[in-house]
Amino acid sequence: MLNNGSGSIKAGSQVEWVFGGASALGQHNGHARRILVQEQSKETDEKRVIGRAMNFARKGQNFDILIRQ
Amino acid sequence: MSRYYEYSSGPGDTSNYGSSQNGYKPVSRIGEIVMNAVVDPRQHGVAKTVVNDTVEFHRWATVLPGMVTVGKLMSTERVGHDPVDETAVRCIASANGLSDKDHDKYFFTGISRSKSVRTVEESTLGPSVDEFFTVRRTQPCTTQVRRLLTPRPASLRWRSEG
Repeated sequence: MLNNGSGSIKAGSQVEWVFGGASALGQHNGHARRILVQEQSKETDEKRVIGRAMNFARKGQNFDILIRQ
Repeated sequence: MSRYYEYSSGPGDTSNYGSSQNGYKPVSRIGEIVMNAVVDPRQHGVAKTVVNDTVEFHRWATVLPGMVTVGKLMSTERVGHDPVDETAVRCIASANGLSDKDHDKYFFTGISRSKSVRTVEESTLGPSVDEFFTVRRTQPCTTQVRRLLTPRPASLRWRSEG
C-alpha cells in the first residue's frame, strides 16, 4: 500500500491510520482527503494500529504491510 | 514430498529467491481474509460540515485498491433491518470533515482490495446503489499503488490527487 503520510515508515514498525490534524481541514477543498497511514505515534496508544510494515517506504512510496488481526 | 505451505521466513530462507536485499518477498493470496464492504453514504454529511473541506459525493465515496477504510463506532445512523448490514461492513475511505479529534469515533475495517467507482450522477441525484467492494482484514497486504486517484468533477477523466 501507499505511504501517504508525512514521514517515512521503517521496516518492522507498527503502522496506524490517522485522519490528519486540524491543519488538514480546509486544505483539500473539492478533493477527497484520504485516510493516512503513519508510524505509530504513541507507544501506549495501539487502538489505531493496523499492522506491521514489512519494508521501508519514504513518503509516496509503496510498502507491504502485515495487517494485524 | 510436496510442500503444503509457501512462505518467506527471512534472508536466511533458501527458498527466498525473490529479494536478497531486504529478505522479504510478497506472499500469495492464499490464506487472505477478505470481507465485503460498502461505503456508508449517510456519513457523507460529515464531509460537508467543515468549510473548505467539502467534497462531492462521487469523489468522496470512490474507493480504489490500497486505501484504508474505517467504520463508525456505535453508529445510530445504522438501519437495523438493512440487508446490507448482513452481508458487508459499512465504512468510509475519505477523511473530509474529520480530524484527529474524531479518532475515537471510528474503527479500522480493512484495506480495500477492489474498487468502487461512483458516477458523477450520484453527486447530483443522490446515491443510487450500494456498490460493494472488498477489504482485506488480516494477512499480508501487498497492493501496489502508484497514486491515489479521484475522478475529475467536470468529466470522467482521471486526475492525480497527488
